[in-house]
Amino acid sequence: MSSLVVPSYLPHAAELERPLPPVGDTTLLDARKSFRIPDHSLPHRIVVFSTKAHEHDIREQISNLGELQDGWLDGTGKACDPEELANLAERLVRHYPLDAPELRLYPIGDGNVQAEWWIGDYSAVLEIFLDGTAAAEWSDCNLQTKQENARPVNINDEQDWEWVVQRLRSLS
Amino acid sequence: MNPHWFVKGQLSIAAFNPSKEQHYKASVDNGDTTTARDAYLHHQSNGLATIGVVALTADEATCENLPAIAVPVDGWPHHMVLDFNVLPDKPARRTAARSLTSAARQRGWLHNPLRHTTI
Repeated sequence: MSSLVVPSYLPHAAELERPLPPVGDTTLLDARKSFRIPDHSLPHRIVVFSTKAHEHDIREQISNLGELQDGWLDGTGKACDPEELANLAERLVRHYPLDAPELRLYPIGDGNVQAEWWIGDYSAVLEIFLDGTAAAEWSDCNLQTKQENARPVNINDEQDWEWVVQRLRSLS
Repeated sequence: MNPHWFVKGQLSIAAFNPSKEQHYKASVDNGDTTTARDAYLHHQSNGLATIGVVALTADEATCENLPAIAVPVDGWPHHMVLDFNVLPDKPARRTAARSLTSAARQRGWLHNPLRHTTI
């Protein structure tokens, strides 16, 4: 039986290694779980959804943010702190799962960054303050009712990331 | 539209949520007096980064209590600002930005030289 290879950079990688489930050509795989999806939605017999691609996406977005110079926004716009960005990258790689809603990171004129999601009638934003405090501010808003839900988030806190991901899933 | 506010085919609400560094004012052009293409070319000719043009109506801004004020600049009489200073706090600015971004996304690109297929 073939095995699912777990990248060594994942925490507790050895514990995660397990046999490939025998579900044939309708299996979407990642390093932590597998699940069935309909035949018609897969163009290939087997798709290996690599955690490396997920990590690469996060690091590439962070890298793009790190390339911004002061003045990037029509002469205004502060550069992002590189050490803070590096910490954010590690937190996202560790705590933002690949099966969560797609992550998009944007710079803000004040040197901070925000992640954004549009899910149905909802707009969700996680504004991350790159000021050494690990502070972030979550807000989601129903665009029909304009009802907003907000709370502080600590990006160094694993439980806060779990809350963010659960909240995103609840909006989906 | 600044290129950094378009990631993986999706526009950011930051485009309609000016920061303190921008004095809480979003710079726009008057679509009644110029075209999206000319606005794009003018922006580029000033050495400013842009990937295309999106739009709001005056009514959409008014619905968010945002005044659009004509602020002509040298050689460009079409310039206006949306003044977010009239909104009471950050959550109010964010809510307005969400509504404006949603409206712009529904309208789509008015000038899209890079042929983006999403917004």
